[in-house]
Amino acid sequence: MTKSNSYLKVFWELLKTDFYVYRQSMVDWVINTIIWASCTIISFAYIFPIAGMTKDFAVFVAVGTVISCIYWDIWSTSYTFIADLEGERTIDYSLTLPLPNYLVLTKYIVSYAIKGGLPALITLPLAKLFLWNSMSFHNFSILKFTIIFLLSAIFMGSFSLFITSRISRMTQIENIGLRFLFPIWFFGGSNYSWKMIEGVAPTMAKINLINPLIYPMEGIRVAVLGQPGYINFFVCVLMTIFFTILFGFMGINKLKNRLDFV
Amino acid sequence: MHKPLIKIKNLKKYFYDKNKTVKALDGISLDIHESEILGLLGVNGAGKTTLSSILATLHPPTDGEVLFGDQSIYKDINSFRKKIGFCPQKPNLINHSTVKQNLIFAGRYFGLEESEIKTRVDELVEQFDLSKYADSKPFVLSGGYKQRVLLTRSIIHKPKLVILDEPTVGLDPHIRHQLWENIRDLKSQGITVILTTHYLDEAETLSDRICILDKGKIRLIDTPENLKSVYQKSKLEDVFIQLMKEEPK
Repeated sequence: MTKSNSYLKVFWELLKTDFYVYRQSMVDWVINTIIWASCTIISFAYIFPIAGMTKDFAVFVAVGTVISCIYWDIWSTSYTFIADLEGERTIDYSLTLPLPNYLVLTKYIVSYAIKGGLPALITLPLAKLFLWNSMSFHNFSILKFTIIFLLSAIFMGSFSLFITSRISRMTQIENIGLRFLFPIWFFGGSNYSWKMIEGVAPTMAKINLINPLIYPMEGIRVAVLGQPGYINFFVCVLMTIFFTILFGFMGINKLKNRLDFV
Repeated sequence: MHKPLIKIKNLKKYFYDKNKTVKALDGISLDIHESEILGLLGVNGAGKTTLSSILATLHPPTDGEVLFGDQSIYKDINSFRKKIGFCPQKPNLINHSTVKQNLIFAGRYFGLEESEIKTRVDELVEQFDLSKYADSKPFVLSGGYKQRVLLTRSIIHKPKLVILDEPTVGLDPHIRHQLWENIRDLKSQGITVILTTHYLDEAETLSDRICILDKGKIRLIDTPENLKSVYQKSKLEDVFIQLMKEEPK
């Protein structure tokens, strides 16, 4: 067996172990996602219109919820990772396996992507269920959706590792969530598109181009609702890949220094 | 004539904290022989865990060499990892999986065939008296059983060297004695064992040679019998206490 095949095999076996562990909690995660998505969609579809908001906005928010659900999973993955570092350190076992250590951490990225991505898939059918006639799949592109969904999930895995690498203690997780994750999400296209921001505050829109969440958010809306009104799909794809590599690289390096592994 | 399995040459590990340099290991050189149990002794902070984690390839040294055969372990670290087993101080098993599954996963990580894994797991579960808990999840196990599972996991792939980092810490005396039997079994199978411990009776009973570390340096390395004879003491504990009172040469 060649070295790369042998690495792939260990990598795959580590992922399979994670699937096995995830399988036991998947029902809970799907329930959590349903509750999060339902509350959001119901509010925007049936309550906010009373205050004058159009139902189109509910569709807009519902599509973004796919990404929001994966995004907020970062909090729980960071919590699990830090708890492990402060407790049983199962990671130490992985770091003594016949697999280069950067691949062990890459495995975490892929694993987090699956953990966050799988339950989020329920969001779109749920949106259709609640919004029915208001939600049309006329402009839906399965190819674009698959590409941006997979890339977004991997980006979240990479971002999650980066965030985790910056948290030194369990007590910091709440601070990171409120001071860092929340503003990124709030200005990252969860409640308005980049072009909406550009319309009212062009400078802020330009600054927001360094917000890594804007690209998955815009990309998923292009895939479901069509291109007009959003950042070009290919720009979204390229920038999502760019941020995935950037945060993955920084996260792995930071953890390499912190865990002092070979 | 003892054949060295591992040669450690001038191994250093420094930690840098603001303006302070902590020398966890400061120029350690020693040979670890095939099929021996080498006991690593020392007070807290002596460098025992640092040395064992460097040998387990968990952390890199600041300087120095670790040779396996005649080749540096860092030349092909992943193939070296297939030849060692590491049993950490804290049980780091997968709590969502059963004991048996933990062992099966470990076998797969080391590239064993499914049929081989099955045979090996059955054999080890029997040998380490784990049958009763094979289908239990690790969090229900007592400390002693968790350590046994860790020990079993570390030898699933038939390594040549097993590194045990304080395997009996915090365990009841009778459980410690059971684990001692398991450690002796490893030696009888031809496995070299590096045993880090705080318990002097444990080191004396199990070790072929004892290496006493102090402030990152080796103070003494010899058989328990020779150490007792040189220091004219009946117990290793007395040797250790006297040694700690003396200033290093």
